[in-house]
Amino acid sequence: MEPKVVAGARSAAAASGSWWRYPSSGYLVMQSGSGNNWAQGFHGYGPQVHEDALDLVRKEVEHADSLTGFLLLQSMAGGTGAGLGTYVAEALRDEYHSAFVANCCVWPYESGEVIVQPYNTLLTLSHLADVSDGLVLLENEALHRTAAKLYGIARPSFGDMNGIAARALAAALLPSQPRGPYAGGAYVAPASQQHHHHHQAHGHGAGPGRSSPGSSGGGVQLPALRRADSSGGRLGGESPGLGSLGSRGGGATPPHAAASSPSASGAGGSGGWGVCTAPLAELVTRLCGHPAYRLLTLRSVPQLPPANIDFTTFTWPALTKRLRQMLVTGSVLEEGLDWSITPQSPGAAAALGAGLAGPTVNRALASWLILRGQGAAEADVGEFADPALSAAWSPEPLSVSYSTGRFGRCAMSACLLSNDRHCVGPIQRMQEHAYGMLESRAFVHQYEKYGLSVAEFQDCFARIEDIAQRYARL
Amino acid sequence: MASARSAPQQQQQQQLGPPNSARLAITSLCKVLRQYGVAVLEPETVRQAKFDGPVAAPMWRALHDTVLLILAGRGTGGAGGAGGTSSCALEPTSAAAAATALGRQWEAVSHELLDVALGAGGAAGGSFPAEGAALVVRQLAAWGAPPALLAALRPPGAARAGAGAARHPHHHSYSQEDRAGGGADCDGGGGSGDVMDAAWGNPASCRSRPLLLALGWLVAAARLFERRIAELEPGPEARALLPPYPPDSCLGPTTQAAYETAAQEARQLVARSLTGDVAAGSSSGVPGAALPRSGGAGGLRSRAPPGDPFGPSAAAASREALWGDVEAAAQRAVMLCGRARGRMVTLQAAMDCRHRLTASLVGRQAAASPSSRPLTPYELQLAAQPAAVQRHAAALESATLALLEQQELAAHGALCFEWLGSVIEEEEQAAQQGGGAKGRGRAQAAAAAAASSPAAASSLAHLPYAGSAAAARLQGQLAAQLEAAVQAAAPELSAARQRAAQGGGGGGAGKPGAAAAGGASVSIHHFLALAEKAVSGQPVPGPDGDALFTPSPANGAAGAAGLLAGQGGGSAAPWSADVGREAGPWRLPDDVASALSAAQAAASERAEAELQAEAQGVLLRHGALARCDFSGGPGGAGAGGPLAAVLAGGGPAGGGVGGVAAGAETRRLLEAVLAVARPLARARAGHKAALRAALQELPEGYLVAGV
Repeated sequence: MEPKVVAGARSAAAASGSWWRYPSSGYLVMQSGSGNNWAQGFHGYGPQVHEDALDLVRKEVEHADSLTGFLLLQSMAGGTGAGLGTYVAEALRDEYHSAFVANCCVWPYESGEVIVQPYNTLLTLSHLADVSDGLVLLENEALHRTAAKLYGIARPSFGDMNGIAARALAAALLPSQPRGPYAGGAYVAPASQQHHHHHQAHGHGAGPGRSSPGSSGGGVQLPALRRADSSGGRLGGESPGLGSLGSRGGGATPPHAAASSPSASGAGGSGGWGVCTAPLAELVTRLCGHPAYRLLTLRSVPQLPPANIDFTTFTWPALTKRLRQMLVTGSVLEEGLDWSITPQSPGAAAALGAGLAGPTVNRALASWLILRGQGAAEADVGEFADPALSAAWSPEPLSVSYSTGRFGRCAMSACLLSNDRHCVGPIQRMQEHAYGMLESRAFVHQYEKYGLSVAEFQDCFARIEDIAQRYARL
Repeated sequence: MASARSAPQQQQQQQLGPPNSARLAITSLCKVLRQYGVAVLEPETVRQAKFDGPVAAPMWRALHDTVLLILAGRGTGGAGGAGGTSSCALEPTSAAAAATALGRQWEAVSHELLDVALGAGGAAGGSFPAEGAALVVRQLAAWGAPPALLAALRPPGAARAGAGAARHPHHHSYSQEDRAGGGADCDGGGGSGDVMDAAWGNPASCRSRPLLLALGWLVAAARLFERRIAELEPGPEARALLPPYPPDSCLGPTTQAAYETAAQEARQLVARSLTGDVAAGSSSGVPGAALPRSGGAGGLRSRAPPGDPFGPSAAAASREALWGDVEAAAQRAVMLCGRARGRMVTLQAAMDCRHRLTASLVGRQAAASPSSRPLTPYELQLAAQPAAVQRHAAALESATLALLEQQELAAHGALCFEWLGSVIEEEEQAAQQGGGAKGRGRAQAAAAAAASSPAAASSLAHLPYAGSAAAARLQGQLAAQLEAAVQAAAPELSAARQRAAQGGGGGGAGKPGAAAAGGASVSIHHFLALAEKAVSGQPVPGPDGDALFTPSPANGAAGAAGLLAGQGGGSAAPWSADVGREAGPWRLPDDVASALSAAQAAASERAEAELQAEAQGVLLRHGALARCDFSGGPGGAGAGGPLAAVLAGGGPAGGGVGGVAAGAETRRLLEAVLAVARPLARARAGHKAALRAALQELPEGYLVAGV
């Protein structure tokens, strides 16, 4: 599958520098993709490559000192990334019972690059909701707007968006240490090396890549790669852990990352802070304890073009205030925040009855705030602990970690991973489309060819509906 | 005290001469007693006591002190508490205290009593008050000492002097005395004191060997050696982890406090959700009341303020709120469960990682220096804490010493009891040499004392005290078993009796009277009466001195062990020899005996009948042969005469027609004989089996020799 994409990623990696490489044998390609058919990826290719894919993973697992879990990067709109990626996630769950399986999924443009993306997205989501321990949803829409409005990129490429997503992800997953009143009982593993086997699911989501083959060429992607690379490289100077993670983020974000190999990132956790945590375990444990709530939203500040960083003064209150308002409004974007909404605004109650309209005030089951930079240990984050922002029964609504190291070139940065109901809106919109298509049985025969019946569609959609309703009722 | 004694003690030990083991045994016995506070016993005394030396007084005193010690609970209670810290020398204080206490007690007793005794005319130097002896003997009896041993403890004149008391020297009488007048014999005044004096004579005139045996029995029965060994057990600090690790953090105060706080919170939560919320009544009518916004971050929030007039009724709202709380709690529990699972997965991963890294580290170390083994974490910790190592070594050393001492003491104890066995042999030899009833009585006493040593059978020594509930139970059991045995044997016995009665007409020696008694009426009381007789009869050498225990080397021990072994001896036919006679106090009850004698009579009759039949057959055969001779003419083997013909062969040797007739006649006769003999043989086998069954039903510990 997707040999061109894989080759592109490999050559980009090789061209980038000395330390970012994919192992020569650690990938799996076949000659053709899944044709945006989720069922083909899941039911067709999945069983075919099962053994080979697991062999690749097993090889990497055996090399690792410690296996905490897998982080899978995949798209949701297409056939290979979505269908086969879901299949691989299930296979990993079967094979490694006790390891975490977390997924980082790219939510497609709502405008739709692929006509069947509602099907594919919901099928992926419903399957992963059962399998995965945590699903980080990255919306292409939001990434695009971030790139366009905050980074000042007039026509953002997938590479640009990958860079933004990778930075956010890295900000969340880099080592940090728990602090504050919420640090009690947090897991701290002084000597363990954290290895993520982020498994790019054999080619990327066919969605973005295939819909715009021209733009996924090497020439267009390289700037993005360089950007990710350069930031990673600078971080790498501070700590090897940062570097490798940065590279991972840059190399593995779905739109361009065709690293179809599980790549063990080396000494991932051994940063220079003395306290080293297992971010994946932290993520899953802090945020995704409840089996019915596993959809995570990633927000990070500051979002500004690299050229502006040097001329920006950072203060913690400013950062946290903006981040908090992002949480309150449910926005992923730092720009265009509606400052009129407060947790106590009547929208909270109205949301319950609003149904499809979606809640206007966000509410989270659990949040994980990661502060990086000078004074991160002391910054006041009390406003995030507002009980109105979290579900009443959440045992630990907010956990805070910090790291005094800089992230990128920013003197201060904050990142918030939250298990909130921001996802309800996109899901409901996607579901509307999907139900509409299913009513007219559009393209269903393509899926039926691979053994996916209408009943299964409906079953999956019902499950998604259930999830959305649960979030809406938070 | 100990140092002053040590020099003569060594001399005595050297005087003790060749058998090193004997010296060891004696000294270890003395040492153990001294460690308990009985300081009066010298090894030389013990040695002399073995040969009936004139050391009765110190032996009495040692016995007395030991009895007092055991009565005072020394060794029962004291051992456990002091066990932790003790090694051999660790209890000199308590031993010394016990010794001084005993000394004072002895002084008081001797002042009070010995004067009386002296006034009565005892020897001045080595005398011992009769009351003390009575106390000792009474306690020994109460603790279950063998009666024979007790009997041997009495001075020679005692039995004759107080016949009434001496006739019942077993437990029962002591217990009565105990209950009746404990104080009376202490004063030395009153009737019982006179009886005592009269009964006991001078205890110092007692032979010292039985005293030694009694002391040995006491040491064994009170398990003094074992207690001493238990005291030497290394204490709990030797079992603690070395070097001491910090206590488990699960049990630390912070954790406990956290637990308690959590429990408290949970209790409050429950209390609130059960009572407070319901009582709060009408919360806001919105279903979302389950998710109130006004509380703190942790725990369920308090309810929204009451007073919404448009909401549902207060009861419905409170129900709703309650169920909302339940759901919230359930959700929270689910979430916490998921988190716990996450933590466990993480922990597992970390442990796997640690194992892997440790293994690889060890591998690298081994590769780097194959000769040296990498240090274990324990060793590293020891290396880091020299003080801990020293503590470790010291504790190890003391524990080793204690264990060695235990071992030594155990070996010495075994040796000591072995040596006591030799004392018993000495006693037996003396008994044999002395001959007569007295010697035998002593032999029995010695053998009974041997029962106290671990080697000998100890059933008698552990028989319960006569008045006790255990004795009643045992008696009941015995009665039941006896009844069962009798029932089992009844048909056979009655059949034998009938047969005897039938055969009696033919001149058998049957006892029709006994047979007429019908069913066997053997009861346990019969045996009890016999036992009374035996106990009173045995130890006291009297005119009725029976030949009960003939301590032959073959079954000496067994005979000594079981009172029922009266049928001992090497006689091949046990029942025929002994039952009929007045074999001893343990003879069988009359009806059983009569049945047995009837069976014997039947057996002898049977044998007689067989003999007669055989003789008759022979006669008949002779007659037939003679007839054959006559009919066959002189050509046969006539020259030899009838006898020669018989000798020549019973069968076809005779040849000829007449021979055939004679053979047929012989076969007929033989068949007739066999027809008589077969039922007889069957009956005999049946009797035998019944007897065996009856014997097996006897209670454990009772042996019937010769079967």
